Amino acid sequence: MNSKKALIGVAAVLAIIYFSLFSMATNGYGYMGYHGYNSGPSFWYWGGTRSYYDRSFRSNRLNASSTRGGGPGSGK
Amino acid sequence: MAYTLSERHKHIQQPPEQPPQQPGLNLGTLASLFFVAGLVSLVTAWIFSFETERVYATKAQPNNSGVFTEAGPITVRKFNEAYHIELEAYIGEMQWSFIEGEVLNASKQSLFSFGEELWHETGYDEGHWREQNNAFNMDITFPNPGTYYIRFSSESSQLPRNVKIKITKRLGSSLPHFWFGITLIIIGILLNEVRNRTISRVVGSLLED
Repeated sequence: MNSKKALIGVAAVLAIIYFSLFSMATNGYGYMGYHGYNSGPSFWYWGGTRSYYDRSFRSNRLNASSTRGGGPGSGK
Repeated sequence: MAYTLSERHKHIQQPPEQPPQQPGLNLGTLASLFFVAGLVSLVTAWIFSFETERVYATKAQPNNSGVFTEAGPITVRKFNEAYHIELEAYIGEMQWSFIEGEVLNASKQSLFSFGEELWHETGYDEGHWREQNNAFNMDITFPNPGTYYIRFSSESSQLPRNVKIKITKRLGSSLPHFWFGITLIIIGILLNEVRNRTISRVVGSLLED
């Protein structure tokens, strides 16, 4: 009987956490912009590309990368 | 004290030791509960990644001037709406292209930028090989309602033949339920291991073989 009560208690706690996460999910938690535009995406966010807060990553650096090239050997 | 023959026989016939039963919580049931809750949470995370509205889709041709297309207006109606941006470029062999998206507000002021270097390389050592990274994606939460634009520009060794861009509105962020689900499944695996030692047995039998 105690075991059953404990299981129900654990299930209730998990359900409370699960439903409380809906508020974060519907508010776009973790993506770029959620904490403002100057702080980047959350630590938990992966898979997206890099983001920069300055006006433009390569503005005023015309042809900065043209001598470098890309690919796996980039920077070598 | 000496055993009689029948008593010794009883000892030999004893079944293999079972793991001790927990007097309180049944760890096997608890592990199952965590597994099921974890799976439900992962499915919920997947549902939150559903596209609810296609906002913009185009196939653009980059040019030498840098900026090659401006996506928008993207009308954000509510606070904290989540959007997903997918970009795919055709990069010629042994070429690279840095493609950047710059997010602008209604008065075309820059908010932030995102971008990635896309490349395509081929070669020959012990056979022909080809490696490329020709796509990237980005998730954005617009904290305030309003009108936004995304200006795309590129710098390339040779201009990409075309760039496909798709912007969609999402139901929300899948991150909270995804990580909650992963955590629950890991806890479920650990509880099952304490109770049944499934992984230890499988690893043990593999090592014996």
